[in-house]
Amino acid sequence: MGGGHLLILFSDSVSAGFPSAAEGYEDEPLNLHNWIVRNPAATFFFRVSGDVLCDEHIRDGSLLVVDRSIEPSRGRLVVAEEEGRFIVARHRVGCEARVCGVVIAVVIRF
Amino acid sequence: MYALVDANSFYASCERVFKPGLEGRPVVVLSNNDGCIVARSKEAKALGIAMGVPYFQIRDLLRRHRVAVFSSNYTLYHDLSRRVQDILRRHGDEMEVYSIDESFLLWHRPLDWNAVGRGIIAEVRRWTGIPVGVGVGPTKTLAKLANHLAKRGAHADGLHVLDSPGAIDAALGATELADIWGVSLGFIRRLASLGIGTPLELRDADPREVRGAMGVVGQRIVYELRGVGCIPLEAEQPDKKNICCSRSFGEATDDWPALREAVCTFASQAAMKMRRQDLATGRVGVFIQTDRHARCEQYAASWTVRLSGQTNDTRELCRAATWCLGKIHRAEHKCKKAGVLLLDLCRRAGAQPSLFKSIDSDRVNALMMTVDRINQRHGRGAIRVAAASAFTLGPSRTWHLRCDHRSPRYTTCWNELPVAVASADG
Repeated sequence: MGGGHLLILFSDSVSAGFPSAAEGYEDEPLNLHNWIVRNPAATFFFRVSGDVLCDEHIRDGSLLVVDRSIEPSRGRLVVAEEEGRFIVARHRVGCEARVCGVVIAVVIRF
Repeated sequence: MYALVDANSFYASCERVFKPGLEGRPVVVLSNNDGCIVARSKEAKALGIAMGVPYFQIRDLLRRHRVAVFSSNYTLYHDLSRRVQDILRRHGDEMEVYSIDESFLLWHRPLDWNAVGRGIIAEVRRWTGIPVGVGVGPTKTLAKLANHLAKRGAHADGLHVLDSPGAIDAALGATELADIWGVSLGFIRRLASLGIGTPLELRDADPREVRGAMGVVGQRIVYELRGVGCIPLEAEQPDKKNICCSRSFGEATDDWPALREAVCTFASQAAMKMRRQDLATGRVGVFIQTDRHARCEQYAASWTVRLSGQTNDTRELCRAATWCLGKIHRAEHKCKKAGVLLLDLCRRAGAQPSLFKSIDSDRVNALMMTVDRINQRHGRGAIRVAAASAFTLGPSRTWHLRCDHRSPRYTTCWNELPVAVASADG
């Protein structure tokens, strides 16, 4: 072999086509969760039981997205504690039930 | 300034968040397999229920006082812990997660510490339902002591601030050596021989003398008590040195297939934990033991095996664990508990594959990652080695966990969400 070495400079092919025209315009696909949930640390999901509020788009089995960080104001839909269970109702000032959080969305799957 | 923020009776508080009627009622949480008490609410402590007591010994007492009993629901605790950490991280300039329910915060600027503390307590409580206590001080050791006073002092209201020499003197005067972070019983004995019996005396002692008796750790405590920070924040969790996965069985068993299934399941779980941190292992250990509380001949044994290289391959780990079990399994002893240890962990990137096997470790890793992803999506054990058990099948096997009182996984499982009853009159 003398003192010679075989030096491999390239061992793989290189793609050298025309670069995509969309390069630099990539975006994440839309994420429904991120659109609804603004404060993940304070957001919890609840399942609705009962059809009393179906006029408010809240039906048995619907999913409630509840943000505990929002200050409840009068008339807003809230989840509250009442007699050892959770209820979902319109908030009234001076009401006995202890408010857990404000409903920021209702999700219904057909 | 440092703050130590910790949750009050964290596990019990987590259970209360989703059980509205439990406020003010005593709550206890049991260890894995409903073995003993691992968390107590304030009311349960007041009943004299001690930490670590076997559940079966106080079952009557718990019933008499209508104590709410829960099996541990780590999925829930972990999720709430993460939320609390996310909130805290926004408050401090830097943060160290110290344990599932304790975090240190650090600020590099002067602030109104009472306002900061109150703000943290109110926000964590409102946003997550978890009550926390806050201790503020110029070093980690003093922040930890302040936190102790925030909960157990005479006027404890969840916040204690040590921001002046007078406040620090008062705190050191009101506590004992055992309350100081890092001071063990051995330390207390050695300090006594130096004539040091109180936190104030320890702070004012000659650091060199303390170092002579207790080493650099003791000297560090002296400086920390003087307000000179010696223990920095550890923002990054250091790499784990070993990983253990062990469980008590619902029923003691000497059945080889059942034990092998248990050990392979533990090995698979430990392997998943290991891969999550991108580590590999070079040594596998297995231990088994009989029921310590039962009147039978006691037997406990362990065995470790060095692998021929470092790996994160579940299949290889299960083979090694089974081999270890074979070394220690005795037909005459019914085992109540078993565990698998992964030792000599190292970064997978620097792992040394076996000389004697021509396995493509990148391909193995890709396979294992795929398995983990599928199991994450479809439930633990959706894909597994045949010798391991599917957790999703439920408690059909004798060795499975007993968790008769587990609450739903309210925050991580679509089928277990808390229910809100629709009510027309708000």
